This record gives sequence, C-alpha cells and structure tokens, in this order.
Amino acid sequence: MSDRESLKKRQKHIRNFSIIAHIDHGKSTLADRILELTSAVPMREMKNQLLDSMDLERERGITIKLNSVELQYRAKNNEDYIFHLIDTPGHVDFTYEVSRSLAACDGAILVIDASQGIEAQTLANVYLALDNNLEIIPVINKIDLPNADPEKVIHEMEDTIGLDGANAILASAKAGIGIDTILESVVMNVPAPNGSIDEPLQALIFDSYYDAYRGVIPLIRIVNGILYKGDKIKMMATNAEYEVIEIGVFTPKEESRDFLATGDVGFLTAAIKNIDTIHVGDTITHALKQAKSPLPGYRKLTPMVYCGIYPVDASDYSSLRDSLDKLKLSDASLQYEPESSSALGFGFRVGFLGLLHMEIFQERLDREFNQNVIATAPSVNYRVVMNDKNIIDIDNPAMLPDLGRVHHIEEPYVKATIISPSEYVGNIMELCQRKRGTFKDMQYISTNRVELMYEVPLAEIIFDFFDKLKSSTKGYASLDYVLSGYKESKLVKLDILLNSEPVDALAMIVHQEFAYERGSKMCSRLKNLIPKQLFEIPVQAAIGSKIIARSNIKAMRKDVLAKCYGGDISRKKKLLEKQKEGKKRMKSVGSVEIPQEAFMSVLSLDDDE
Amino acid sequence: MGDIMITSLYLHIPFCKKICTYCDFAKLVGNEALMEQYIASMIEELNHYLPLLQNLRTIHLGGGTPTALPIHLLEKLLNVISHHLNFSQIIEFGIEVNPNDVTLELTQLFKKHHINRISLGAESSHKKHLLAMNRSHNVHQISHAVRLLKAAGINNINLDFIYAWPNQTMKELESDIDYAISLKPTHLSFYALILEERTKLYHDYKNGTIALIDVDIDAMMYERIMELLPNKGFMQYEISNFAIPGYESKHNLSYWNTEEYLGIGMGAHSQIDSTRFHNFSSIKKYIKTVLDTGVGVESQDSCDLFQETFLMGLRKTQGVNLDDVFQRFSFDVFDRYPKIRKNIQEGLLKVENNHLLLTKRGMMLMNYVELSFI
Repeated sequence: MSDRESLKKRQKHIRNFSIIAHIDHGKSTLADRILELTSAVPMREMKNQLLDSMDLERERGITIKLNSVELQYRAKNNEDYIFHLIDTPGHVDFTYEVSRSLAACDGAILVIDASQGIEAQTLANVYLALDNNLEIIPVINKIDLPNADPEKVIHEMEDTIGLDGANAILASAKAGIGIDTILESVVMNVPAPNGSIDEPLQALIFDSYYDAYRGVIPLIRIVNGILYKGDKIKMMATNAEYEVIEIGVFTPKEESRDFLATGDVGFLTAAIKNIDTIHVGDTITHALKQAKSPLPGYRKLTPMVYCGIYPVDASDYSSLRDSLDKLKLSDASLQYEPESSSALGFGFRVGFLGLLHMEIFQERLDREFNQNVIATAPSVNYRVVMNDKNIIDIDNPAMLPDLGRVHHIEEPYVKATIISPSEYVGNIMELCQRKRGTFKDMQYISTNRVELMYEVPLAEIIFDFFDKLKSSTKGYASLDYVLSGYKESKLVKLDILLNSEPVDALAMIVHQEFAYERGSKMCSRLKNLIPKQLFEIPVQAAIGSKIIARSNIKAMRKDVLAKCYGGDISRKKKLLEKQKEGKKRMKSVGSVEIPQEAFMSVLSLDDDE
Repeated sequence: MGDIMITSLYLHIPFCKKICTYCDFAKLVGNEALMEQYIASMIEELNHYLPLLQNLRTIHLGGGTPTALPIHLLEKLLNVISHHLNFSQIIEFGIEVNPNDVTLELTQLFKKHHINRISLGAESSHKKHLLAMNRSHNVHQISHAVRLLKAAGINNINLDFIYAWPNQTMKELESDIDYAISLKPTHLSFYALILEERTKLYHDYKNGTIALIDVDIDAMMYERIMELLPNKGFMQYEISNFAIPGYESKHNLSYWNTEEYLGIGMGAHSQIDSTRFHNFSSIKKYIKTVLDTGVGVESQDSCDLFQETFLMGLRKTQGVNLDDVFQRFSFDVFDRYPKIRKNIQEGLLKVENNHLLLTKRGMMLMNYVELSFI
C-alpha cells in the first residue's frame, strides 16, 4: 500500500495547466520560456516555439494540433512539482478541441498582450476555461514594448472577465521578465488534480494523432484510477476495446512509463487502426472494471463548412481517396463522402470545422500527399423543407431541388462576438447589416473598446466576413462565433454557364437580394481568371432559365516568342514545361479550360476590381 | 570527336556602351583592361576548338555589341578568325553593329576580314522610342550607317526593329516599315517586344510607370507587318524575319534547322552531337575557366533533337520536312506527338507537300501549338 500512498502524495504535486491567448499575444514564446526554465529542453535543441510541431503550424503561427509536455519544477519552497503543460489550438474552428484540452487541466495561464488588450478569442477561451472550472492566472505580456499599457489592460480584464487585477502578473516572455513569478503562481494557485487512484479508471481523450507504425495514439488525462501497460481498455462512447501496448509522456521527447496514475497526462498506444473508434472527448475505462459513467462534456463534432474536392486528373480518384483516408487518421474531425459532378467528374464532398480547417486540409493534401485537386467554393449545410414537409440536408449547391417542390429553405446562423476599438463601431455595424446580420447586444469593455454581438448567417461568415471585418477596422477587430441554429431565408440557386453550358461546380446558393450583384461579379471575375482560349467564350449567370448577367472571355489572338536563336531553346523549353504544369492544374469543362482558382473565386466577389 | 565538323560558329561579345532598357542578354559596360582579357580568353577558346572548325559555313559575331570593343581589340579577334579559319566554304560572316558605331575605318575592317553581312540595330525610326529604349543612336545615324556600308561594298544589310513598344501607335509602326524599306536593305527583322525580368523596362512595368501594349493591338501590328513587308519584296521566312529571296540569314537558319553550332564567349551555347554546352555567364568565371581548361563550359545537357526539330523548325514559314525528319530519326511525328492532330483541326497547323507547318493563325499562336510537343 505504501506505493499507493506515495502515488497519492505525488498527485498533490501535479499541476495541469494550459496557456490561453489570442493569436500573436505570445503564447508560444511563453511556452518556450517555461520549457527553458524547467530545463526540459537544452537550449541548443530548442527550436523556436517548440510546441508547434507541424510545419504548417510554424508557418502560420497558429497551433493546430495539441501537444502536452511533462516538466519537472523545483519551487521556491524546495519541493519538486510535476507540471503538465497542455497546448490548445488558438482558432475558432477548433473550439471543441480547445474545450477538451482545457477539460484536461486544472488551471490556465491567460496571456493578454499589454498593448492589444482583450480580444474576442481571449474572451471565448476564458469562458471555456471558466466552464471547466479552471483556476486562471492572468498574465499581461509584452510589457517591455513601448506602446504597452498594462494598467488599461488590467482594467479591461476586471471589467469584462471579472478577474482580480491585483493577481495579474506583468511579464515579457520574449525578454524573460516575470516567468519565475508565473511558475510559482502555477504551484500556488493551480489546484492539484482531484480524483482518486482508488476509483475505477476514467481517462479523458483530449487529442489523438496517427503514427504509421503504432496506429492511432490518443493523448489522455487520467481523471480517476491508474492505467498500466497491458491493461484491457474500453472507449465508453464507441465501445471499442483494446489492449494497451505502450504508455508514456512527452518531455517533450517521448518517454515510456509503466503506468499513468490519477492526475497524469500522457499517451498510450494499442495498435488502434481505426480512427473512428477514438473520439476526442471520449472516456477510456478498464474493460473489466468499468467506470459507472463517462466523463461529462463529450459530443460528436459536426462540420460547419463543406466543399467538393476533385482530382484534376480523373485517374487519380482512388489515390485521392487513399490520401483522404490517411489524412483522416490524424484529423478525426474530417468527414467526407463520394460525390460526382458533371463538370468535375468523381470526387468527394468534405466537411470541415471551419474555413481554416479547410485551408489546412487543402495544404496538407498538396504538401504531404502531392494531390493535385480542384476545390469548389465552400458551402454551408442548408436545410430544405419540401412541400410534403420532408426535410433534406443540402451541403452542395448543385443538389438543391427544383424550387417548385420546395416549401422553404433554412440556413445556419451563428452568434458572432466582435471586439474592436469603439471608433470602428459604425463600420462594423454597417458590415454586419450588409451581411444580413441581426444586432443582439453591445457592451463597452473599456472606455474605448466595444464588444458587439450579432446573429449572422454562417454562409456570410464563410464568404468573406473576416477579411471585410479586418479591412474595415484597420485589422483591430477580432471575431469569435458559435452556431446558434437554423432560420428560414429567401435563398435561390445561382447557376454559372460557360459557353452556354451550366457548370454545376460553380453553382451557389445566395440570398435573393444578392443574386444579381454576385452573378455579375462572378461573370467579370471568371472573365479575368479563365485564360483566353482559341475562341470567344460567353460567361453567364442565371437563376433558373433567366440570365441575369454575362461577360465574354475574348479569344486568344497572339502568343508567340519573337526571338528564338541557338541558346534560347533551353529557356523556351523550360517556359513551355512550366506552362504545361499550369495547364495540368486546370480542368477542362466542355471545351473550356478552367483554372483551380476559378472554383474558389466566389469567395472574393466583394473585392473591388 | 574526330569526325565532327561544325558548320556554324557564334562569337559572343558581351560589352555595350549603354544598357538598353529592354535587354537582359549577357552584357557589360566594360573597361578596356577587362575587354582585353576577355578577347584573349575568347581567342584561347577559339584556338582550342580550331580542329572542329575547318568546314565552317557561317560565322556570326553578336552580343552585346561587338562594335563596343575598341577597334584594335576587334581587329585582334578578326585577325585570328581570318588567319586560322578556312574561308573557302564560308558563305556568311555576319556581325551585329550599332548604327552610330559605323565609321569608314570600321567598314574597311569588315571588308578586310571577309565580313559580308551586317545586322544593324535600328530598332525604331522614332526619337522618343529610341530614347525610351536607351539606344545611343538617332535616325540619321541609321541612314548614314547604311550609306557607309554600301559605299564600302557591303550590301547584305539587315535592320532590326522592335514593335509593340509601350505607347507605340500603328502609324508609327507603319512609318518604321516605310523607313526601313527606303534604306533598301536585304533583310528585315521585326521583333515584338519581349518583356524580360531583370531589365529596366520590367522594373518600370512593375512600378506601373509604363504600360504594355494591349495584346490585341500587338496582334494587329504583327498582321500589318506580315502584310506590308511581302508586298515590298521582303518574304517572311521565320516568325520575325523577312528577306529578299536568297538573302535569308544562313547562320540563323542553322539554328532553326537544328544543325550543330559552336558558341564561343561568356554565356554562349553550343550544340554538338545531341549535347548542348553552356558557357559560364559570369565574365570572371568564364575567363578563369578558359584559363584552367581551355574552354568556358559550365555545364552540358543532352538535347532532344527530334523535339527541337519541331520547336525550332516550325518557326520557319516553310515548316519542317517530314521526309527528312523520318530519315533522320525514324520516328513519325504523329505517333510521338498525337496532340498535333487537334492543332490541325483547330486550323493552327497544316501538312503541305509533306511539310508540317504553322498556318497564319498558328504563327500568331505558336506558344499554344508548341505545348503539343512538350
């Protein structure tokens, strides 16, 4: 029993926490400093911003995949503590995943930029942390910058979140100021994990990734009980059972362990080949001695945004499917099913948590799998109520049934929270109005910063809302949104015809009031995007049989290299090969070659040309 | 290499007195010491290749500007050429010349060294365009140069012109054509402007200080050139080249006929026995490599002569002789490039007298047609 006693004693010295922050407020830099100070990583091995391990993450400066690190810290009281620093993605697309990683923590360091103040993302994350009953350690970061105004930010924090400003730690992760204080505060203020090693096993899956040799690897927090190597385990939501092969933690290097006890954070491997059995938010228990109930908060993710993904070369269909299957292994939230288009042939309709998720997916498809694909413009899921009261879900505009049979169409709405300097309130209201938003609420979070709440159709958000919001507020506004439900709208299907043939992959569902404007913009956009062909091509926009806009792609008249002597041929051939590569990225629809961008062009329709 | 005999020789002089705004050729505003070193290297490289050069048919001295050399250095190079090469079979010895460089002394030097074709960089007959190109001559100097050359008995004269220059009008193009014909040359080249990166012009274009001519106007200009020049006896024999019959450039035809050629000097290319050699395009490296190895070669790669026979040969109005191709390669072009059937249907290519050639529209859209050969 003395083993169990020492485990219980050890549990009192565990601190599980994460860092929450708005993008660019310094989360990764702070994580680096903490890792340095806890000597987890020798300086020379330290790459900047260690926790963001995927290339894409580093390039975009955002965290997509979660990581957790076990650190040793000797506090000022001379006692040794085990820290688990759990990383969270910093983007609205991944709110559910953030909430699950926060559920694995007992405390959170809230980082706020001393010059920027509170942003929509900060608020969203703080509310998630409070939902999970986390102790919050406020940190005002970047205090060494010339335009830092910690006083004002503390004020904002007290006013909007109700945190006691007296506890805020002034820091500069970059300059290494205040890091000691933060670590001590973690020891003092973040509670040791609750739960008991004597209870049946409950382990929360807060992330998973895929390893080609070992299968799906769930990252877990033990809430109750002990998990040993060789244990038979059961996933409480999916009922799948496995035998644990390996257990370990990240320091941040992988280190094997024989067990993980209550309060511990680590990973397990169990030769799991099917990603569909491992759901973030699910509870792992022992197959033989099961917990009475799963941990609260589990839900299945539903995509918000859909788009068609088609191979440029039809013969790549099955290799594309293989790539999707593989991507799914490391991205459980990805959903897809086969679909076909008369313009694009056979492909897939893929569902995403949001636009960023979609972009990341497309980049990974290109970079990691070398797939040359056409992506259609993103669409939301429409709920079509038929005259016979049947309800059909439509996530592909081309599939919208004949409106004669449709009673009405409903579209998803979100509750959008926008935080901005007050001088832009007028612009924001105008934008939300234009995007069919309904005003809900407005609050001053400080004398010159405002929080606005609007209900806006999700379709408008994915259209170009964020870009427009940024440009109408000089980049100062921040946005967060959650799905709020479906509402009836006056929607029509806008068809695009090339050379008098409708191209199903270019069809879109738009609000009646925007149909004419978007139709004519689409025509002029396509005219610029589609390269000249041998013959003139009419581009038309139509609602039903009514043409509402048109433009012409002029015929190509001259394209010849004026000079080509001896040495010029090498260069000429390189140019031709490049041109041919470009052609490979185009899709022939009828007699017209359409570049990939054309299918996404609907997204930038509001840009001034 | 014993039985390889090269029939065309190119010599590259990379110096200019001024840099034209549209030009990205290997070129330098050089000092005399560097020029002297460079010519010495060229002579060394030429000496190295002499055994291969005994059956030469054409020589071309280009640049840059060969006449940017001080006359004694040009003469030094010409001396080596006329002393060491066998002129019995040489039918064309051409040189590129800036109109304002032509002097009596220079014409006599040309005569003395068997130079029999002069290519004058006229470019435009309009002061404002010549100025925008940063050319150092004016229209009178073009006319004067032609008079001096003819007086020296050099009658095979080509004039180079650029069209589709920013802001150029159709009227200006027509007056360039009239002017060119009035000088009674034997050959005319009308090149559409090529916007090259790493030029002042490209820089200005990117900055928005100049606008390129609309491609439809460019097309109309080209059509106008192809209509007017043949009316005056200058028959089109290549995309940009027109000549009084019999005066086509033999040297340039060797490129379009994918014959072997040797290039000497920095940045020059050679094509020998299905291999293309590239000389260093940095003058320092070129000089050093010649010193070390006797030649200026930086790299080489093999060339697909079958493919190039079409990419180059289709530039000629007479096209490519399919019988010759089959004899040379034992390949059928329709088997290897099936997409050309579509180009024939599109009215861009045609077969006549067993020659594959571009139609008039095909000449205007040659880049598109060429994709069928890639």
